Amino acid sequence: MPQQKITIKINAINKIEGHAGFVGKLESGQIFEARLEVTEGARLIEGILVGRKIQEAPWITSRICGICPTIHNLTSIKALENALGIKASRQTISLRKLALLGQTIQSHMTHIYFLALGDFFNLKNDAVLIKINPKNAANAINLRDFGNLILNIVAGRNIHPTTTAIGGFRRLPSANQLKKIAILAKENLEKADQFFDFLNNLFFPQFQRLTVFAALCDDKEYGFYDGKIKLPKNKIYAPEKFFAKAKEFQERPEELIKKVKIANESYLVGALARVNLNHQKLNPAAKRALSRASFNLPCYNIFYNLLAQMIEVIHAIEETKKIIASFKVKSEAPIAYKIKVGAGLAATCAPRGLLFHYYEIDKKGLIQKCNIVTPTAQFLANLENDLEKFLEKPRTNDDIKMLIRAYDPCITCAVH
Amino acid sequence: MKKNKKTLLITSLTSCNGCLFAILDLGQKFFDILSRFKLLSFHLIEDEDKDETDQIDIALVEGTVATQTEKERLFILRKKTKFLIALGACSHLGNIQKIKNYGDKEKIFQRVYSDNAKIENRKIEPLSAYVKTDFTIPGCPPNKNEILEILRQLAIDRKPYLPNRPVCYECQIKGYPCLLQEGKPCLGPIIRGGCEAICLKGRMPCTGCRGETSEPNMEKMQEILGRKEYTRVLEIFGNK
Repeated sequence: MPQQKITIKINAINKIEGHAGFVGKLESGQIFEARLEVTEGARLIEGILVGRKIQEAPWITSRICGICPTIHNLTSIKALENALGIKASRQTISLRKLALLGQTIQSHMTHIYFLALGDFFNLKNDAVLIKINPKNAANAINLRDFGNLILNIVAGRNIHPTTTAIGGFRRLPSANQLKKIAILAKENLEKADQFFDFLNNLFFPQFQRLTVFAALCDDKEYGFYDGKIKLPKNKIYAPEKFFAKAKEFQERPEELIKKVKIANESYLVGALARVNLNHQKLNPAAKRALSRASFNLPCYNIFYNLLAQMIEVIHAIEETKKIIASFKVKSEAPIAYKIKVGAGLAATCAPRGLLFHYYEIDKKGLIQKCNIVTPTAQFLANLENDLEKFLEKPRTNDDIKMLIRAYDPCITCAVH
Repeated sequence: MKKNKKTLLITSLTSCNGCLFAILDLGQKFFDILSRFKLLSFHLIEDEDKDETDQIDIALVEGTVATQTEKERLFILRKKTKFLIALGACSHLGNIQKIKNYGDKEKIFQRVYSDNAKIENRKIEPLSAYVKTDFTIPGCPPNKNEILEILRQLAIDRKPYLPNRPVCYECQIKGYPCLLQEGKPCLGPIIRGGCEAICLKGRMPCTGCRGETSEPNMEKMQEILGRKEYTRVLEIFGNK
């Protein structure tokens, strides 16, 4: 049989955050390359922060990403607090968790509805998607708005938060504003449940590849803000240990994203990994949704990432109510602190998965070193391994794009 | 009526894409106004770009030029476009990625990538340094209501207009406490409003994401903040 070389090239994968294309190379049916090709530039965030005041870091790193700015902002704050030995108050932590739930709802609904759903109907345009099923469109947009409302009330603004600071909040939400969120949570929970059932009835491509999951795990709750890092078989690492094991590498000199592997293995982070590892900590309605879901755990089929995200949206709405009921907001200024030399790491779970911020501070309160490891950088090797296996069967460009979009990659985060 | 629809292109260069999400935040209002245009491209909601046409009536461009390819894309876009709008602080001012211009950009690069990396490290400039821009919607992120207002004006063939008053003007109308008087480094007096003083609402001093207002008293601002602090804050969004 003659050697047949095929190159698959997609110049622009739309409907993802940021800009990337795809290159796949096959020879005689064997795949020897399947990778994303970034088509935007580097902003060198970790480099520009060096020599700048620590207070600027949360403000600047929020600008890494337009879809998940709040998680960058809060992870930055948490890392700096760790470096300075600041222990945030219970109220501050509750409000930060609330903001992250808003962030998760907003980001997941954006991905599920605007970025990924069209693929399940072979629709290229969201305006058409909205027209053919206005009720689901309204539910999705309302849910996304609800996430944004939480962010606007708690973090001051849904894109690039204003009220969050090292040590606490510059401005606190009022009891009435929080009450409003709790009231709206009730009707949004119903909408989320309906939307889950709609998604659950879609046809999900049957494709899977065994892999390793990693997620934040908190003893008390389904963690987004705090916890240790969990891998399958109940292997648990302190964030510092995991961070030391997770090796960043630049595969090719022109590659903008530094990928990450643990012990030379690719791994999956994000909603599907979290649901696989932490499903026992889900709230009741989210657990019920999971029991109705058209997949079984453990689930290695990334297309179900959409359903996992929707389960998390349900969980997040329930959690919102729980948090608001758990405390009465009282006037409290950010904790005053003294600058000191130190280093701090923080691990959180962003909508797309584990996120690390690490800083070293000098005696003047200037940043000496910064390292940010994003979810997309961590799952990119896993995505490319999936693509290699996926291409063992004949696939159209639309199939390839659908798989990439199911991962919900954020290129602007991954490059930063 | 239908054939008179203007063509609209929404695109981004290197950025956080936040301006595009600000557009999506308009929700149904955005899709309603969209029906007044023929959308050529908006990568978050359209799988395929239709920008091969030679006739683009309106282009909203977010982000900065960070690669040679982006520079070429921008030049081509400018040639085809009647009315090109710089959307957001990246395209208007350069934004945070411009901070590297104020230091040694090679050294800054080496903190992120190894010596053998082959990645472009261009000086960051606003779009206006490359091409003529016909209008600016400022902000990081831009105020979504201003975006909607501009789209509305363009849909009915009006020359777009946004007011240009300092942030202090809106801050005082809203009755927020003055952070400058509290000794905080707030650029409110010299920065263009339209943001509804949203940072001040959150007790975050203005760091200047919307650029200078008309006739700003920079000397006075520098005198109040001190030269070092004044320069530091101006650098954040590329105002220096």
